[in-house]
This record gives sequence, structure tokens and C-alpha cells, in this order.
Amino acid sequence: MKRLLLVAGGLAALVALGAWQYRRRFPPPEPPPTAAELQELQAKADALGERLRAALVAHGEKNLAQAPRAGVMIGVPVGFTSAIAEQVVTGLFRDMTLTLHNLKVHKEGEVRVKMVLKKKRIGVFVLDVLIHEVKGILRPGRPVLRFGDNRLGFDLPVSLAEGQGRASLRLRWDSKGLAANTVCGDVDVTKEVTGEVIPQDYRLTGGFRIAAEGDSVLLKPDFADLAVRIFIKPTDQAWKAVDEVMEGTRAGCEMALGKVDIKARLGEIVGRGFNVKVPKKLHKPIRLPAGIRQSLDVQGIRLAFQVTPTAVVLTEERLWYGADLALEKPAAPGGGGR
Amino acid sequence: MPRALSLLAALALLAACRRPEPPEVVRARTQKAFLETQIGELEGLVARAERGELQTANQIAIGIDEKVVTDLLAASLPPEFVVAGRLRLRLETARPLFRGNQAALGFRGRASSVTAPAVFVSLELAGLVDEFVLRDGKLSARVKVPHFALLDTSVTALAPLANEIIRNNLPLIEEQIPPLEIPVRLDEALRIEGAKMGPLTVHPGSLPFKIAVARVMPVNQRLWILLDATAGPWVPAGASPPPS
Repeated sequence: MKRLLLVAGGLAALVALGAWQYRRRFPPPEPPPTAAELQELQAKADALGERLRAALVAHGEKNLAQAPRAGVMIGVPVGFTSAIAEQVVTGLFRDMTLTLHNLKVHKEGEVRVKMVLKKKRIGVFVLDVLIHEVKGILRPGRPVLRFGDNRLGFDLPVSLAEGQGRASLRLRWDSKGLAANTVCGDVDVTKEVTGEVIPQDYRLTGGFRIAAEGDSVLLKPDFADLAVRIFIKPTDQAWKAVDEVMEGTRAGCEMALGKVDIKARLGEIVGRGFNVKVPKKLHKPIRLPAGIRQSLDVQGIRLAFQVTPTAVVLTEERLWYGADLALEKPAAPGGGGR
Repeated sequence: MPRALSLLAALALLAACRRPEPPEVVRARTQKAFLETQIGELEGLVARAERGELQTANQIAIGIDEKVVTDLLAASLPPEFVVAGRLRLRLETARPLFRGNQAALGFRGRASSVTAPAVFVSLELAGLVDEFVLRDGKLSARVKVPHFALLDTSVTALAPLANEIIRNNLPLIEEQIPPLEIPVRLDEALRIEGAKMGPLTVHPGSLPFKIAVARVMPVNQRLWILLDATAGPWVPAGASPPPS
């Protein structure tokens, strides 16, 4: 019995020691906060929240407050949107080439000279220019952009900066009358010549309509066709080729061909220019790089959403897109999120 | 005699263990801790805003409502998982709180014994949205669980054991909670195809975007993620345009 009491006493002492150690290591928690204390903390947090809002507004960040109410809101800075539109349009026009093939230009006429009593026809000329190829290169300038009415206005200077062409020049001369035939005879000569495109400036005007489509905000192009006219100037090589034509004929022909004035006629017919249209369909809608995802794969579960756009709002600082998301029934995983 | 010793030992354990606090007390303590952290964060944020350091006009702003995150979490929480081979943990609800520059997530669930499913504790996990990362056009953040509290138990003696198992396995629990992925698409580039339209040849190219997470601002029941974004320069593609 004495031994039992000793064991019990020892155990009780152990229990007391254990309990004391536990209390020492894990002291009783502070009393829980009262409702009034919590209310006071909440009021302090609310006041700070209001001060934060005021500070943000005071520093120009009122824009976040202008975001449309929606489940998900995306605000793309106006400057960023402009930079995208600017670089896409100028990128499109950078080194855009206009290439024309097999253009035929024809000119014919007769040459009359004053004889003793009246003018007499001494010959007929036919000048055919076959332009095998003429290529012009467009270069964009710095655009002027302006936002307003859910639209991005665009004014882009475009230069037809440089270009060249090559052509076959065929001159036929048919002398009329005995005298002309004796002195000059007929001529049929073809020369390869080159030309240069005369630089011209154009202006592309139009813009982009801002629209929400499904999960994205699109800048939809609204441009007119750009009418470009390519003017060609014969090169020194071309003039030299004409001189060679003259020099290659009989001495008596020079007067007759001088009347034709091949250089002037050549300059006139290629200098009228050739029309090329840069069609409006060239511009495609631009999708802004931030949009709403219609599905997510989270740890093997495919979550699909119904995206309902609520608003597209253009403010001073941002282009806002808001949409409500409704979760569809989860489906089996497969593929990536869209 | 052995029975008496067992009884004594059980009494000693009961004397040492503390009864779990009632749920309303746990909730009040959690709320107090949350509010105190919120106030601390807000004070820092207000100071930065008043110094003009919170300019965001050149940043992409993405705002997501608490309701959307609630739905996302509810749909993606794992049905249940086993912790340390002893407890089966089931997260039943998740509630985000985006206020006062704090992105908190509160989870409630139940942990039951693997061997005796009728023995369980109810618990609350206090999570925080960790740093957001943008990878492959997807914006996501892991969830950290720095605190938890047991709310209720079917067997009082289970509480200390459950407490210990959960405390020692918080990293594992964090891993089981899916990352919070924001349902937004962020493109890395805009590509323009080459084209041949009659006499016109348009060369292909692309406009790369550099987008990076700048700041996260959970305020007014919304989680705002602000992204630094720049476009360009335009990169002409080396390939020749396709035939007409």
C-alpha cells in the first residue's frame, strides 16, 4: 500500500510538472477582442481606405475609379494602345512594295515639214514602250493619332520613297515619199532603258473603331483606299539610249527624228504616271494584347466561362473593357486554355 | 492497477491539454489579426500614395472581383487529400477578401481520421495570395497558408493531434491548393502575316510586347494587378511573303 501511494504521488508530481511545463510553453491566450474593439479597428481601416482613395485621385489615378463595374476589368493605357496601332500600321507600310508588270505605252504620229508651198508629210513614227517592271517602295512617316468617341483617329504620311523600272523602247520610223525614203529610209530599233520612280508624298487618313468582341478588345480599321500614282523619270542611261538611236540612223534622218523629239515624247508618256490602289482591306483588326480567357485548366480541371461584355469605356488614361464571367459546368481536361 | 495508471495518465493529458476555443472566439481573433495587418499595410500604401509613388497611368490594370475568385476557387478546390497518411482533409469553402491592400483567402474544411472517418475536426485556413507571376501569357499566384485554426471537433482528444499534423504539414497543404489563376489572356506578340494583293506586297512582321507584373493592389473587394507594358519595336520577318 505504501508502495502504491509512492507511485501515485510520483505520478501526480509528474502530471503537475507536465502541466506546469505546458502552461509555461503555451501560455493562455489573451482575452479575445471585444465587438467594440473590432469595430474600432474596422473604422480605422475604412478611414485609411478613404484616405488612400483620396490620395490616388489627387495624384491623377482617378482612372481606376472610372473602370466599368464587372467581374473582370481590363484597362489598357491609351499611350500603349496608341503605340500598338502606330507600330502596326507603320510596320505594314514599312517597305511595302508596289510592283507593276508589262505596262504598254504607245504613241504614234506623223512628221510634216514645210516645203516650198505647203507642209508635206515626210514620215510616220510609232513609239512603243513596254515597261517590263516598275517597282516603288512605300515608307511611312510619323502618324498623328487622336482618341475620341470610342475611336482612334489616324493620319499617316506615306511616301513613295524610291523605285526603279526597266523597259524596252521601240522606235519605228516609216519615211513617206521618195525624197524622205531616199534621204532617211525606214528605221526600226529597240533599246533597253531604265527609269526611276519620282518620290511622292501621300496621306492615309482614317482610324480604328474600338469594339469588344467576345474575350477581346479590337481596334477595327476604318480607312479609305489610298490612291498612289507612280511617276517615272527616264534615267541618264535612257537618254543615252535615245541618243544612240539617233546616232545609229543615216545622217539625213536626224532632221526627221529631231522633229519627232523622241526624248520629249518618252518623258511625256512615262511621266503621266500609273495608278495603284492600296486597298482598305489591307488593314486588319488589331487585337489588344490583354483579353479575357474563356477557359482555364487548373490542376486537371477545365473551367469554362461564359463571357458577357458589359462595357467598353474610353477614358482619359485607359481603354477599359469589362465583362462578367459565369462559370460553366467543369469539363474533363484537354488542350490549353484559350 | 494498470487500469488505474491508464486513468491517471489520461487525466494528466486532459489537465495539460487546453480545450479548443469556441468558433466565435477563433473568428474574432482571426478578424482582429486580419484588421491589424490590413491597417499596417494601408498605412504604408497611403504614405506611398501621398508621396506620389503610386502612379499607374502607364500600366495595364486588371481588376477581378471577389465573387469571380470565389467561383474560381470553389470550382477548382481538390475534393480531398490525405495529410501525413493520418488525416483526410477536405476543403469545403473558400472566400477571398481583397481589402486594404491585403489579398487574403479563407478556407474552411474538415479533417477526419483516415482510420476512423467519423472522428473529425473542423478547421479554418487563413491563406494569402503570394507573388503573381506571368508565364506563357498566364497570370497566376500560389496560395500561402500562414495560419490555421481548429473550430470544432467531434472528439476533444483529437484536437491536439490534428493541430500538430496540420502545423507540420502546412507546406504540403499549400501544394494541394491550386494556384489562383486570373482568367485573362496576355499576348507576347502581335503577328502580321505577309500578303500579296495585286501589285502590292506587304512584308510580314511582328510587334513584341514586354509585359511584367508591377504591383498588386487588393482594394475595395477587387484585386487589382498592375502590369508594366511596352510595345515594339516592330520586327520584320525574314521570310518572304506568301504567293498570291
